[in-house]
Amino acid sequence: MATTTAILAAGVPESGKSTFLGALWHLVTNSSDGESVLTVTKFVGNREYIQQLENAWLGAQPMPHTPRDSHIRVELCLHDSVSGADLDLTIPDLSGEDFQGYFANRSWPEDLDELVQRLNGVLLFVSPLGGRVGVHLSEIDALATAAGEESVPEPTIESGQPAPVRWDPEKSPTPVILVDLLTAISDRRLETTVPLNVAIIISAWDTLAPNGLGPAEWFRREYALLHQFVSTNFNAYAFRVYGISAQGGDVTDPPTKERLLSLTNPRDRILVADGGATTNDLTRPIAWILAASTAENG
Amino acid sequence: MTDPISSVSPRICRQSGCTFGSPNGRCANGFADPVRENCPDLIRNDASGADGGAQKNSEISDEETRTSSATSVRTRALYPASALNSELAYHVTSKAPTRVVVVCGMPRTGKTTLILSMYERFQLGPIQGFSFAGTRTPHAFEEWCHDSREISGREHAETVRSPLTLPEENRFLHLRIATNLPEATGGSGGMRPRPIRDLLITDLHGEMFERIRDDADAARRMPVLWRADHFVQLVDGKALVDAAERHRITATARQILQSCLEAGVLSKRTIVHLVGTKWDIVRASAVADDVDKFWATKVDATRALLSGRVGKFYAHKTAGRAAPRGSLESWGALDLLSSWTNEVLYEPSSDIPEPFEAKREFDRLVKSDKARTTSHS
Repeated sequence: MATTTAILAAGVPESGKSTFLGALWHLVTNSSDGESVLTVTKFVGNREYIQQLENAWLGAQPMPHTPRDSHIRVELCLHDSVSGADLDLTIPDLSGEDFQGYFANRSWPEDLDELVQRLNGVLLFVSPLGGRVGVHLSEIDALATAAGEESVPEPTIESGQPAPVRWDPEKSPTPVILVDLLTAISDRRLETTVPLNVAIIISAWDTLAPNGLGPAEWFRREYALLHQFVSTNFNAYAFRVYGISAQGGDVTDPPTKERLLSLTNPRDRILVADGGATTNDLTRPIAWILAASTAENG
Repeated sequence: MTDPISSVSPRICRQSGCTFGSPNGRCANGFADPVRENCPDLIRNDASGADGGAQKNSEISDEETRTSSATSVRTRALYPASALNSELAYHVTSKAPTRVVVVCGMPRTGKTTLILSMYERFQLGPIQGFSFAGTRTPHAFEEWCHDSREISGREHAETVRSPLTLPEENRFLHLRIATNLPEATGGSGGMRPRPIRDLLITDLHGEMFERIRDDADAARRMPVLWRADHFVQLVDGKALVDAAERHRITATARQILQSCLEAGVLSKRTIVHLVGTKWDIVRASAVADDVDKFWATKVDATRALLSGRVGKFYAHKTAGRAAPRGSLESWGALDLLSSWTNEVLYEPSSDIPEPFEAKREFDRLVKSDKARTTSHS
């Protein structure tokens, strides 16, 4: 009998969720021997949306934007080639604006709430290209001073400076929003005592790999608040960090796009950094969540 | 009583862009209290229930389910995320060992800056072994930090001037901190993780500050003072540079402490911190040596005043936001954070002195400590 598994793909806008899903769909439906840990045996529901994502990915095109308040759920029946298990997997595709909205408005849809209560894991997307950090003004002053620029004069009413921007919770730093999301999820997993498995996915990894840092180190350094949060609350969260480039490069750059399209097998575009290993098996984060969940429940 | 900073308001504003009713929201028409002042754009929020009454604000994770009239999507409320009232603070103290920190100082002394600097610094990483382990008040922190960030559109950092606490009730900011205490060996031989401590931090509203200074009974009637594990008295370093001001402001600090001692709210279970803020301004001034000597005499005098009457006394100098991305360690706040997190003298027992006028807020905070004793005994 298949095990039912629920995974939430979460992240702010432009964090790579839809690209991941489009590429994942291609992989699990076009897998040759042993290429992926997971293969799809059945798909539930309307394929139109997921196939749109796959087509955009295959064409090395920018992903269609997931509409706010979308109720799209990707429901797959998968076979795990390692354990031999069959499982039903549900992944709602929510827009990044939805997650910002939950933070700002302090509520989320009931159907999501129902899913959250039985979550096995979260694919938590962060991107070096998107997201937001809280840059303190004195840092800018310090940088200007270091660059030999004169200090900015104190603003006056007569100076004609643009009016200050009012606080908008949706524009809070990404790590703050994601910490809050995990906190809210924990609040709703009322009957669960096992840690929530969180696969941290650093998207656009191709832009970071040349820096020489591994995914875990980059995450610790650049998403310090979130890293501290998941590290210290070990009884609430188990986490693993992946560096993933589902597209393989910047598809808005014509030479890069041409290079990606020239690859015979589209899966060769994919880059997955998992610890010290590099692969193109995009199912690894999901397989880790499934294995961890099985171990906890077993 | 309707909670003024409740996560859900029974009234909503029909004006686009107005944030009244949202956590820490503000009336676009500029009313300080849009309900009492009859803001013309306020309408009843039908989503709040048929009786139009206030939704309860007694649960961290609100059990109410409401329907958005615009989308007909049923939603479930999340924890409020704004500053905690005493009822919400109770949910924190009832679940984990919690330190209550009361920060006291005249307006513009740097109360907000001191508290926010710790939150801001954790965004860069752990602080000498202390790590961020969560917060129940991210909206409050973020709104307060906004004006010092690039996104505010300002050219220079500012700190929100609105008080955390209302005259009639304390509001708390919440930080969960993984301590820097050494990891211990667990019963099975494995390593146990570092202990996590919850901090509830509040300040004294300027109006209450003056009342307490002038009347010990006012201190006696403040529930939060009875529960304070740490009482932090701030003195504005910028004012210390002014020879005429320095005597007045240090006298005010002494008067506050004397009043609290007289009221009995500071006791041997309280750790008192005397903090000179904005010390970067002191150091940059032409009278830095004079101020240092003056400060040393005041620290000695305060130590003598408190000796044998409070649990511990510390003096600190801090430099607020002089270097927010620099090291917290360099400006003295680490000592404060370390003490707040690791030190507590008050192990709850039945000998808690009854306040002059017991209030529900006090009862809740005491009850929470009894729960703490039970759960950890």
